[in-house]
Amino acid sequence: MVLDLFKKFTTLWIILVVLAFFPIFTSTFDLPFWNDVVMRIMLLGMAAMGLNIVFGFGGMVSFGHAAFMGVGAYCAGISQYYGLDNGWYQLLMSAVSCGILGIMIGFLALRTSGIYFIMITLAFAQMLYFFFVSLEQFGGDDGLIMDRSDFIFIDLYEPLRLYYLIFFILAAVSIMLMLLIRSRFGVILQAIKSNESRVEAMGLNPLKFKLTGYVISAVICGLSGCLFASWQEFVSPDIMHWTRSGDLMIIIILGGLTYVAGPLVGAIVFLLLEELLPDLLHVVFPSIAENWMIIFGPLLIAVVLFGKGGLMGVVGNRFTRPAARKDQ
Amino acid sequence: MTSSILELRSVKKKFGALTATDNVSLNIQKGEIHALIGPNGAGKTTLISQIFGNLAPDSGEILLDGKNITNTSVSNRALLGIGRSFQISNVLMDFSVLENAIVAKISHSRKTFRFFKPAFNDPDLIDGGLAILKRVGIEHMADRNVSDLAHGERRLLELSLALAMQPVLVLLDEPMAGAGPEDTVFMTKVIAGLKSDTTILLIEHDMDVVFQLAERISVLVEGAVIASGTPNEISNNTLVREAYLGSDE
Repeated sequence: MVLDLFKKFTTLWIILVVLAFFPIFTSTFDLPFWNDVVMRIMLLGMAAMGLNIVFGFGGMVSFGHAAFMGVGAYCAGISQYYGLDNGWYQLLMSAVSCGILGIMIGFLALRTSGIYFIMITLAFAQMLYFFFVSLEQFGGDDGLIMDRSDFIFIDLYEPLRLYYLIFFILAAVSIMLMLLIRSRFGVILQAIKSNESRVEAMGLNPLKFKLTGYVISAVICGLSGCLFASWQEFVSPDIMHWTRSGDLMIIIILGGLTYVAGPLVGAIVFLLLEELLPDLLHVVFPSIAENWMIIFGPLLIAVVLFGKGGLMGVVGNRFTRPAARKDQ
Repeated sequence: MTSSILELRSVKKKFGALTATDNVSLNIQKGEIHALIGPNGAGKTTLISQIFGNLAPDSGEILLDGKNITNTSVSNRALLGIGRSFQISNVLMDFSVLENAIVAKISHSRKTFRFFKPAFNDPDLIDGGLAILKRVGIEHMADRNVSDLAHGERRLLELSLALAMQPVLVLLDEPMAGAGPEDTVFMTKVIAGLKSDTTILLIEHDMDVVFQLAERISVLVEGAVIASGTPNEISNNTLVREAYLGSDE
């Protein structure tokens, strides 16, 4: 079964191996800044992989998952504000809070579908956003400066410790997703996306499975947010701005929404472009370098339009078969 | 009294001013093939949808094997033993034929919240899925993708899914709709073969098929049952003749 996982999810394993050895590259060529970029890629990639459980596999377009990242981040920030700076505790706290919140929001939002589901998830995310804006005690709009959390045994101020903490949690989430997507639960979730009324007629209550998927995805986004706070050493409502929910969706579509590795591929390309495109333009067309989004936007549109199945679909097989079956 | 598997007691359903189901009372006996016929727009599908739970009646009661299921959800009715095929093919389009059956088998096994072991290469599920397909004789199509199937083949797959949960009552909403003559003959044979282990409520426009299969027929006109009886009684019933052929006056 383990061997099977290696064969089925080649792309994801390759990415994980590259990420594991990336710091050797950066230290050889003395490019510590790139560790920082890759940590951001891993964090947003993890959140996007979480969102993709509902978005790509369950067919539910949730436009509010940045809120769970925000709640995870504030769990770290507020805990530290009160002197609870144990990082493991903060991770647990983020998972539990996002789990409970996921049940509550999911229970209400999943009664709707299509455009109504998009709007109601956005509405909940905006409610949470303004809730944290209104918390003057924790900095309100300006946010809360914090130290990196204390993970016992792992001093995050040592170079690379934070990098590998994020990496191992990303790897754990990846392995869990590879298993989940091929499991009975994962198959049912993809069946619901394919045809909800048939699944219901088979005696399965779609809401139960959709809600479970929603909660798992909320928890993963929460973990990502909690680590994001340590990475950034700062928490503000900005982390849960609605544009970040949009970014997560773009990352998924860019990478390929029917693939487990899709969101990670999307995050790598999206954030690298964001990083490199301005510099590149500075060399080629200095006059428009400031407005690099003029190039970025059409590039995204091109991939979405022409690469059905995202970048993974362009590279791998093009068919929209259930992820539970295909090699990816 | 009874050996009735399904009982409707004055079921009513209105859509605005339109009475789609008008005080329908109906008894389906265990083990029979009962056909529901009527002109277009008579409310046959609406009635089936209420029996399956896709629609809730405004008033009246629905009993399955003596148990009131009027307010039971679709998925729970399926677990209690009602299977349904829809008028428009309703299968998992992105999946293969066997994968469709495997999802049904997962539900039948009741072990649904399993997060680790892969489902599509679980030998128990594959065997169970193949058995589901074998029931209607389509196990040879197991590896094909549903999107590549011909219309008639999809109808057969849907029939096998309706039977997958080993239902005590199967609702078939125009199972032959759009199928070619050969498929119709094959499907008729398959349905006749099911008689020994389940009860069937069949909506069908093809009168040859209806009179071949049905032991009892109910006629629905403008939401109301105007006649119920053996094929012989129905074909000699003046009310039915009027509804179908128009009155002489």
